[in-house]
Amino acid sequence: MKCIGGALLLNNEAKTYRSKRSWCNFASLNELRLQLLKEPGMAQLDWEDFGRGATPVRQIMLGAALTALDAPETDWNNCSCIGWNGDGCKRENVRYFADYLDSGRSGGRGSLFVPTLPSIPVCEAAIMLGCHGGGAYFTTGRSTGQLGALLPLNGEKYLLTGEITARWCAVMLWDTGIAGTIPEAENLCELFQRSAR
Amino acid sequence: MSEVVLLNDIFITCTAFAGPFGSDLTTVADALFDRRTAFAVPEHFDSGGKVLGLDADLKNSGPCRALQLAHKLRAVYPQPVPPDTVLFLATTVGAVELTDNEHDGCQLLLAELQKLFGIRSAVLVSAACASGQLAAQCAAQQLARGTCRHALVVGLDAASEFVFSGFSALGAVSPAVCRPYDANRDGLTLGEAAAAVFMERGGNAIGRIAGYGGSCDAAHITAPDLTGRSLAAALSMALKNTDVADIGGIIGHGTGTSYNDTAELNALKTVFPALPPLYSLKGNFGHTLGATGVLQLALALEFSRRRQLPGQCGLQTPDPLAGTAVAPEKRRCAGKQILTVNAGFGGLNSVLLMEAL
Repeated sequence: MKCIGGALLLNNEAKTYRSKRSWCNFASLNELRLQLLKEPGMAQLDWEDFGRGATPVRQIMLGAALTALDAPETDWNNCSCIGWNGDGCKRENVRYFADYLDSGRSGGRGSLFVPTLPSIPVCEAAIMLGCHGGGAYFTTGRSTGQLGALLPLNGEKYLLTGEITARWCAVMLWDTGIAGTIPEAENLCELFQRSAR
Repeated sequence: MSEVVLLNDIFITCTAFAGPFGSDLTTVADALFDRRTAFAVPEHFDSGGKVLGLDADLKNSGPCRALQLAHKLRAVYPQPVPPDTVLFLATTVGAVELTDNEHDGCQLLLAELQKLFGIRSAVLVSAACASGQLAAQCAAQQLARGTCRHALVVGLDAASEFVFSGFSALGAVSPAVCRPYDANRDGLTLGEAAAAVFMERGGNAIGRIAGYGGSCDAAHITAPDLTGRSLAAALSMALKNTDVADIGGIIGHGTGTSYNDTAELNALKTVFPALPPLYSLKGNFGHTLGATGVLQLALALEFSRRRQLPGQCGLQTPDPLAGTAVAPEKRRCAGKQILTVNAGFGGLNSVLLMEAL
């Protein structure tokens, strides 16, 4: 498989893999979203869950949108969305349960409970793009080669792989029909930066 | 498209269980055929009188229940595990009571299982309630690709206030007991269990994965696509090399929620002109989340061997979509292969076709 597009979001910069574009003037993730909505060539995507999404969801939705801009020829119907390593969802777990305890154990909030699965962010990306191939979140050792050994899942043409931390969200889109394996790196951010030079 | 990996000589050679009903495949299956259920009011948190499927052996005031289940599973696991085995863990929240800003409950459980089984390499597989079957699929694919030689697939989730409160907040919990595929079903009942299957190339085979498929609804973050379109695609993928007339029975996801069971039945009816016998083990165990997929695929082997499906616990009036495919009494399976279906939050679907050998 070969990387055909992607995006890297850092705290104050967003850039794409193939087209090598970048955005710097945004003070928040929502500001970046508003800029992207005005981009020529930005597809009509389902942003409905962005507003109520926790930060990791917003990060990956932006990463997915930038990837869609970077690889507009992608048949998203035939794509699986895969989350890997990163920070997981422990912060969301703590947030949900603290809120539940603060309510006197009488009223947990469903909107805070749903993000307590680490697979939720990539599923939000799948909803946004219309990806029907499959999906999951995996953790392995710090090796993109170990991630590659798990893929593809269901014979899908494309794989959208995403890694989310407090400092970055790296999204790389792979075409499984092109020969090759995922190159070795400790994380997708490193792989993106090395490969996109 | 990439190639779908063939699993022809990848086999399940050992199974083990920790939870209600027993620790080996035969004993657990006997309990299901006897229509036993695990439902009780928990003592380790206040459920407002609602029941969950509980393992009565676990200590209410002891260590985290998930870790207790992990230790119990290790104690009953019947054979040595080679050190080059890769652990594939399916869990939704792991040792959630121990989660804080520095520690992830799933990683804590993963590390504990690695220590207990003496395993160096491990993969966490998180696909909500589809985790267990996906973990088995990933393990089988890695064995087929030659990237590992032995795989231990563990599905484990414990009954926790964390998860119970969350599903309650979503309005998904039955006020009584879950009634999968019933016309008047009113929600799910949570449960707890651990199940393990060992997979390798060759060996003394108990059974195998004869087909697999997966998809994503990409419709809504919690609710399934009620048309069942995407799940039907996963079913078709799993049945690609099989005549549907040869399917002896189906272990469905069957949570007992209105939406899940409707979506599932619509998907099944798309693929099967006539539904074979259908059963959900959640009427006995409750919904064991990350464990359910591994429970289902292991028990599918026993049902395949016996050529029977248990009767559906909780069933009073079958959903018209299910018709005579569901029944309170056990049914004979005309064919040897058993299909098993899971669906999870985020619209994730997993289907495995299992066959006893």
